[in-house]
Amino acid sequence: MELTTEQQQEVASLVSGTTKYKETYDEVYDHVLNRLTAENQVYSFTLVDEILAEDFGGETEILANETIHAKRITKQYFRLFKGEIINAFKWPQLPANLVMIMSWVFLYYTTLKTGFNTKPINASIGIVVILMCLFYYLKRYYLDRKLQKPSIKYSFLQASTSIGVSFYVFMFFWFLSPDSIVEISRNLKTILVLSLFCCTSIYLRAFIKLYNKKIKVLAV
Amino acid sequence: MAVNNELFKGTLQTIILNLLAENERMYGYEITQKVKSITQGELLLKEGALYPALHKLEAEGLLETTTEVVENRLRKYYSLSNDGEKEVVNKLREAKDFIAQLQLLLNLKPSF
Repeated sequence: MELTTEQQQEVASLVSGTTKYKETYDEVYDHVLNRLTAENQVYSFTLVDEILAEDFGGETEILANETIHAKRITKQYFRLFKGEIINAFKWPQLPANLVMIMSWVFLYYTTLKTGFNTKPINASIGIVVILMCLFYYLKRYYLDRKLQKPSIKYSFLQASTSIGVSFYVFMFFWFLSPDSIVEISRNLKTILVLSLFCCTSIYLRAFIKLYNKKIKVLAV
Repeated sequence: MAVNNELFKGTLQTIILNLLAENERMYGYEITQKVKSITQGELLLKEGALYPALHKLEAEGLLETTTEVVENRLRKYYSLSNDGEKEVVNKLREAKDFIAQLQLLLNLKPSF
């Protein structure tokens, strides 16, 4: 059967009510429209309900399956993310990272007497990780929640950028801020800021690599 | 006579991987229709089993997905990943061995 725009919207709203994530909605909606197009019956609201119950086991089954899928796929994303971080210590990324670490060590020792201004580096790390997290926070809780369904992909991106910002906030308030909870020497503070820079750099590059390699090609 | 669906539950992943090895990329509904047409309606692949199996294979990294806008809606296509291409060979070998053992157990003579 050929469906009118109104009928398609009706199907969309019914499918939307039985799914939580955007990925599931897109897949179920496409399937139901394919089924309806192939059917020789007259369109009705109950026919859509019947297809959802017959093919997917109804709302309960759909929600149960998408919860399992969301858990599995998020675990897989985190496994890939961890793999990208580990790759930073393997060929061909290893030399570039070693050069970065060595140059910070050199900088630290050459400025031991004069002192090293860590504020710009500290601020730049904070800005980058907070902006990244803020972007995905807005995407996850504002754009995805208010304008469309939440997406498994953006939930993962928001969670993974939150790790970076949580670590930075912890380091900042405990050790790096002028009124830090734990008071440490200026030299130790410099070591911490430079180490944090190296970690952030590896973390960001792993995130970008994962995004370009995997996330970008996965369903939105 | 339609085949009992319980009998092919254990080989569902092999069927999916093999279909994708032969068809490069497919979407969910297309897979169900392909199975129906190959088996001339004797074997009906239920969507309630197909999608969870596809999602499991995707999470295991054996399948890759892409989306495309078709008739104003998003369509999710599945294709084999590099790991999936290797796995399909193992799965097919396993299935063939299983069928051979089953034939021995049930004293069936192959028809080929």
